[in-house]
Amino acid sequence: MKLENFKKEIQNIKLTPEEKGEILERVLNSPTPSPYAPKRTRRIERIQKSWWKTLPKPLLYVGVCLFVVLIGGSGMSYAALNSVPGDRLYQVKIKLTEPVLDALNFTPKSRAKWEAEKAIRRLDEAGKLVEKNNLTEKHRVEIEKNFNKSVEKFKKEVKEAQKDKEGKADDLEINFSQSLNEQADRLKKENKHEDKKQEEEINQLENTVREKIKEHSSKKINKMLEL
Amino acid sequence: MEVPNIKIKEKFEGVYEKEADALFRYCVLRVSNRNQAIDIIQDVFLELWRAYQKGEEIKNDRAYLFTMLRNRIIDWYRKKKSSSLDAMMENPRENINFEPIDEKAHLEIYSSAETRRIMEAIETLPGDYRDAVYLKVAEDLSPPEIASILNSNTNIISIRITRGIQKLKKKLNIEEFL
Repeated sequence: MKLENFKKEIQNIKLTPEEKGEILERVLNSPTPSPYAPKRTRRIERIQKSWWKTLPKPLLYVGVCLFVVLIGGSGMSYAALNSVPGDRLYQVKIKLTEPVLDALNFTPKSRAKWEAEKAIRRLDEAGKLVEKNNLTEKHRVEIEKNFNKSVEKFKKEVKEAQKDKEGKADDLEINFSQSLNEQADRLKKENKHEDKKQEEEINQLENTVREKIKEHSSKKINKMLEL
Repeated sequence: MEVPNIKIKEKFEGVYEKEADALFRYCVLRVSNRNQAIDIIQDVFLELWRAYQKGEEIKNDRAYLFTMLRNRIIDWYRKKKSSSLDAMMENPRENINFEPIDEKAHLEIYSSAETRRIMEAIETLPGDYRDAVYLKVAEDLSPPEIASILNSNTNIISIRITRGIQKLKKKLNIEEFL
């Protein structure tokens, strides 16, 4: 087929005179927009405002799901902060939230401080369980395990900190000793519990803490604390 | 209500008479539905009319109209695609084509099989080449005119036209096309 023929045939595709007239009439008779009406934004501005509408739908769905998971995950982590052994979110606290915070401490001193805080947290959790009369053997064993772990890590980080700056880790050790002593005294007070089983568990935990205090105390610190 | 200036109206009518058929052709070959094409070009001319009424300066009416038209067609495709996907998700087993089959609307666009074949071949060209080749062979526009419509450079358009037609000849096995 020659170009001219093709062009002639294509040019036959057009509006009928009636259609042409109708369109023109509708356009010319359309109401004039009010100068006070909000201005229609240009296409590029509309796209910039609602850019997400231009995304392919599968990608949009994935993005929304990820966002929900992220927000949900953050909310769950936050809610887990106050959980104690036996709670559903406790494992989230121990295995997710706290490990994430572990990674945010970069120096031996900050890591030691964080491990000390974790050890104290374990004992606080025990205290909360005692208040609810729910310190079972299973919970106590779990708390002790995590407490001991944190104490060992604390000692390790303190040694590292002492290598860098001689004597600068002393304040950490002193503060930790004091905190452990306070916790041990608190457990001693709570030892006089009506429930014998509960009393047994508290006693056991208090002994663990006192052992750690003995192991941890150095002559230097004892002298400082006048123990 | 403000009475439109008669000169503006005359100017608009002149542009309308000159460009309406070309725009309609371009549109109906893209959307394959006469009524839909009429709706789209009505919107496009309405935009132009409003622009004239506001006193906006439009350097090239043809380029302005084609640009508006191409944007409208893209919007139409997107809307059609999303509503098809939504319909598929809601009723996967049902027929998703909700448009009633109107024989008049679906009149055979092409008068001959050969024309249809050539247009289908043009449609298969890469996007950059397709519009340039179509505007050249169907509307007989010059490269500078096509460049202003497609918002491109005259040299680039010339190259696209040449290469596009070569591809077309190869697809159709036509030596004497151009």
